[in-house]
Amino acid sequence: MSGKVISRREMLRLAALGAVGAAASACAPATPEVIRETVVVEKEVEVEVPVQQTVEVEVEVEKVVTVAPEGQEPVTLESAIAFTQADYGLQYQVIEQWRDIFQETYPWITVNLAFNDWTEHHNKMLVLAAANELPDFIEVQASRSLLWIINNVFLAVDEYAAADAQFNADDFFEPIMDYYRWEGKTYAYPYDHGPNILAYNKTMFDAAGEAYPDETWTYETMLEKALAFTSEDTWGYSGMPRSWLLEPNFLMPWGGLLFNEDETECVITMPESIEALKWWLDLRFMHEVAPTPAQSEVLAAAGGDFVSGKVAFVGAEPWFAPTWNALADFQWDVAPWPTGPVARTCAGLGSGYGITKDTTSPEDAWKWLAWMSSTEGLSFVWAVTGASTPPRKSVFEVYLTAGGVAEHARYFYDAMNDYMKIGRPVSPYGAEFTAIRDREMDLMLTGTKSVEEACADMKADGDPILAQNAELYG
Amino acid sequence: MRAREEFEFYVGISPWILGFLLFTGGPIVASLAISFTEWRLLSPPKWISLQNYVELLTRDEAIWVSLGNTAYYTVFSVPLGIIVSMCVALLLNQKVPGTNVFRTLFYLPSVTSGVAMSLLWMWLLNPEFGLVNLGLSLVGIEGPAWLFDPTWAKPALVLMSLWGIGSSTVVFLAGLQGMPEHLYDAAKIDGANQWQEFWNVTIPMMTPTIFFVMVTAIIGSFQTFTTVYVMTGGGPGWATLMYGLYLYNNAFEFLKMGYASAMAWILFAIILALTLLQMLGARRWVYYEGDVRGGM
Repeated sequence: MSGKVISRREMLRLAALGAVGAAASACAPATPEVIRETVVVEKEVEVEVPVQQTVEVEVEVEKVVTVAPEGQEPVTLESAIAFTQADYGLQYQVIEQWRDIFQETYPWITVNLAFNDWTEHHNKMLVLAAANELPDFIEVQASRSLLWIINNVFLAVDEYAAADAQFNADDFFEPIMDYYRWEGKTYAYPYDHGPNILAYNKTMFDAAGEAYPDETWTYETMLEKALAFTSEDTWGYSGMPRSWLLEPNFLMPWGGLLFNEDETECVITMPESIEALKWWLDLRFMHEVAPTPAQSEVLAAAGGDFVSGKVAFVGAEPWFAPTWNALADFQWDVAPWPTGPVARTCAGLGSGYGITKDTTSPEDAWKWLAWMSSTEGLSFVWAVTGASTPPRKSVFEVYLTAGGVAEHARYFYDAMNDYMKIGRPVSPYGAEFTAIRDREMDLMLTGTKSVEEACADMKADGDPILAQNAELYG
Repeated sequence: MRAREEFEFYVGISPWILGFLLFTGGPIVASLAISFTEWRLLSPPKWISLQNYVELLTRDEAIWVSLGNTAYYTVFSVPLGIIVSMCVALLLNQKVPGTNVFRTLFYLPSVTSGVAMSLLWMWLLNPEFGLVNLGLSLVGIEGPAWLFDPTWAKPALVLMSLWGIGSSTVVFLAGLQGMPEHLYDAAKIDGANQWQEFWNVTIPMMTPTIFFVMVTAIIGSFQTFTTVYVMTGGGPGWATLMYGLYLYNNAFEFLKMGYASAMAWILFAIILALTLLQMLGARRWVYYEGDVRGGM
């Protein structure tokens, strides 16, 4: 794997996409007149945090200018977008470029971009919401979107999407859209979404003469290989049941569940869930193929369990690629998440964009949302950088040819298309339940409580919290 | 002349007064009003009278867990901190070469960022590779899992709290250096040995300082947040869920801003009550120069 660099060739390919996007937008129904000219945009950006990357941009676009309808006043849209440290600041520079092309296409619209670090974005938006100062357009994490939707923060966008002939709403992977819909209406569109599948250290597999993981892997294979790779200072696997991964990655393969369908009850005491959790805990306590939290704390100094080169395989999302490319001194690749006794399932998580209900320019805000989440936009901003897997099927080929993505990155597509599930909780009272869940998982994973006892306590203390969801749903 | 002094007093204090009224007073009053509402930030607040307080005191198990954890931390870390910082101050008060270097070294952790200190202590307390367990192993003791063990996580935080004794050490040092020499001279004439000097002169004369350090340390320990937020997130199994962290979780994770405000006011009431109790108790054991026992 090499560091992430957008080559001249890739950027020239973007030129075509940019042209298509601009032209497509120009064909929108409300467009009264289009002026076309060809321009060359050159930009060079150097990023040194913490690995220097040079992004060379030379985009030849067919610049499309949509002339404002008669009497159209200038419109300014406030837009709040978050970025992670994983892509070292590259992402926001690309978003700015895509915004610039948008403003040239719609000259009466100015989009002010505010970038937040991911760790601060949610709280900042909460404060702005409390002050009735939300921007016209905000980014929202998938697991929190329902909370915002139910609290009437977002504008339903189905009518705008239906009226926009260029916007293909059916192109998104269907499981992802469940995060952004409520009572039959769509309130946001995703811009990235990544499933958690298996990532493995190719160098370790080569050295051990083991075949790489593939579609045939079951949990039995996983245990067998984990045992083979475990020695005094190496481990076969890392990653215990936890967080939003708990249900899809760790319980569902056994037929287990964490919640009932509408998250009004915790069902983790079902036999399938208990059986699954016991299997996972045996990895740590009986087979000792996974590092303990104390050992992981030390490996964190070397970049984490996997990057340290001491762990053969882990669960991972696509957005790890830039970091691993920068820090890992071994070859790595990805494989399908193993098949369980009942099914193959994995979790997926990402983020989307929504228009806030109090925007004074919903039509123009829709233009910006459509621009950002269109095939062309997702290609330009996301797929070509390889920073994360795109939520649109049509953009996947662009992602697969991006620099730095895993050799078998197509397995991400398979997961998103075939077996990815929502990582719950997503309900408004989910965060409160999470505190109970984490408490009991801690006690389970430290061996303080048995699986049965911890699950019973999770249900006993969690159900009254989840019952409030039922009251909220009416 | 008096009017001019008053004028200068008010001019001098005005930046703080203005800052307090503009940036602190308003939010304090607002938080009291918010504590009587259900406010999930994303929708307008709804007046619910005393419901937050009732739920807080009667139905929320985590409140009592967090209060218990905070009380445990206070009960052990405050006396331990006072004793250790007093001892260090006594050592630093000796007239030996290099004292200034040691004074600087002991104070350095107090100016270190809380986050950096927390990360450092995560390493020191690592069960397998940390220096604390390495030291214990040298004397034949197998150290516990500290922050990874629900039983040992709180003692680990108490141990770590000693790292921050620099500020109280400086206060004690200042108190020791202001000690009237004639009292020691009188004690020597009466035939007192060093221990008797310490017990009958130093300690009584230091009681105002001890009282000040105790009050501020208890207030600080009830507001513990950064260390647990960074090091444990309240885990494992809520073993280190301190009141301040649970308040933060309610406000920004569970979006129960009204409930969190009520928690803040309960915390204020607890701290106020504890401080008043200490002030009442202080009449029995704090001596001010020139006072007689029990008098003020």
